[in-house]
Amino acid sequence: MQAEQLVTTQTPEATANRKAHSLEVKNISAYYGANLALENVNLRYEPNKITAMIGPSGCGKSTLIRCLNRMHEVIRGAHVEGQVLLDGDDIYASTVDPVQVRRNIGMVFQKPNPFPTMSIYENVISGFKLNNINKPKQELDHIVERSLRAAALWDEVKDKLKASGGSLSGGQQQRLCIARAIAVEPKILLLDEPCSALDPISTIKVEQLMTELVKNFTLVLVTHNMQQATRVSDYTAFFLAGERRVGQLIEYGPTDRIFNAPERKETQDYVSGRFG
Amino acid sequence: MSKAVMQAPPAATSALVPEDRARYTWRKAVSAFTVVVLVLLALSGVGILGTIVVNLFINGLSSINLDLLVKQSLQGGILNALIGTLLMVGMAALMAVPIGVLTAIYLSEYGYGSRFAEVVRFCLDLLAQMPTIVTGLFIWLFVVQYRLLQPIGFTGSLALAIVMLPIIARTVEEVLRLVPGMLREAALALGVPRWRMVISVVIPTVLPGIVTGVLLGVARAAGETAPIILVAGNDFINWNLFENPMGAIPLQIYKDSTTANFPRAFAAALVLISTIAMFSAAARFFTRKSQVEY
Repeated sequence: MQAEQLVTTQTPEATANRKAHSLEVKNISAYYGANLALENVNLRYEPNKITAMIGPSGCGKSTLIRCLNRMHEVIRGAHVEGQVLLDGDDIYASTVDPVQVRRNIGMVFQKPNPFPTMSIYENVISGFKLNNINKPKQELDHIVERSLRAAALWDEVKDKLKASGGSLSGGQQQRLCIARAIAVEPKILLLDEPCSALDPISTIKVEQLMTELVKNFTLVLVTHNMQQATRVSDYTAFFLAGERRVGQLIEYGPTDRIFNAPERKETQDYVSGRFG
Repeated sequence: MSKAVMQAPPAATSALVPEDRARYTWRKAVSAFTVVVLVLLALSGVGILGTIVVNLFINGLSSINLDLLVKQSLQGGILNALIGTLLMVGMAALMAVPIGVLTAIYLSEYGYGSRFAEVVRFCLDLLAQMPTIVTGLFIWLFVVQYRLLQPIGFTGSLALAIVMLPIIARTVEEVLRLVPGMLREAALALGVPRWRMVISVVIPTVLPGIVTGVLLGVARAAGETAPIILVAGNDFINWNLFENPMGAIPLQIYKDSTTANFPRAFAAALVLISTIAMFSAAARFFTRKSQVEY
């Protein structure tokens, strides 16, 4: 669809300025209260690639993605052990402010969640506004247009930027949430089942968007949909909870290999649709 | 057999048509009757409210005149009571609204799910259910027995604030819980500190509901007689909350009823209800713009 348009709207300098950022998970275990939900995961997310995390419900993939920007600990009683290195720096170090982590690692959620009291325009710049970061109007205008173009939503909303974010369709709302997340130029973008509440047409748009965004961002994608993983991701991590109901990373590798020649039998069973 | 089939109406051959037609008809009749009874019962609430309001207007409207609003008790007016109610309720709101709203924010946004919050919530519920005459007795204890308070307007405000506080705290908490968790997460994931998330996302999203919750508490206190019956009451205008007791409209109504001055009692009741309604309407008007769908 708007592929050419997206390419042309990337200003050369914006692309050049963006450094590739990596994220590495070391010995991460996640708990809900005393319950271990995810055990000892080690994983490296390659810069400017899409890494998909797949697995049946309860396998810990959503728990892990929430560990990557310290959103897991927002749940009462939940805590994390281990390290997550953003360009080498541990986001769980005792001196680190989780608020700063989240400004660097953006997140898009399962259900579109634009702020209902804000207009489309305000939603896009909410990352600045809510953090009291003041910028001149002209710069904000520029950020709004750039983010909405990058989220492939500009043409649909450019004439009604003052309208409420809630007035958009579900797919448009989700792209608005992506625009909101990338407006603050995070180093990593986390997508937690971003299409699960969307219809097939909107899903395709968001998927095309991901393949564009990966030029500028390191993307981590949790998905229930194996076809989606094969369509968009470069690498795939397969998670499974065994009899102890503790999620574990079973296998990780290039998406092609995980789906066509997995090493583990559990992976083979899952990707061939034998369970889950 | 085939004869019986022939005699039955053609539709009866369908599996969807009940075999025992009379039974079905009876069931439908009972159902219709039950619904009518339920609707009538449900209307009783509407009927009672209607009757109260209509009678209030019939009995009160004729006694409403300028004198009522500009003269003091002994000259046949209720100005002293009106001023007393406005000042005492206003002062009570000044104390109870911030405490109540902040308590609600703690319960909903910080302590939610914690043991301590559960205890606080339980105590607020008990406080809300406390018979207000007990609150009145409690205040009286501090005035007469312990001599810590004077029977002044401010003491009445304290009593009314005790009535307001649990209503405001619990209603506002319920309203805050209506904000979907995913909006909180959206803000947190943008690197917004929790306190700013509460102020800039949670509160604006349900502002009309918060205002309604506050008004519920204030309106309830404005109509209370029992908590202030032992510390308030003044036939003359008193503008000073910190010296001498104040009159109050509910007290005026009570006093007029016991002295058989019913015209003024009804007129005062009408003034009280209209004042509360006016405040509600105004607050709704001002928060209407921020109404959102989610």
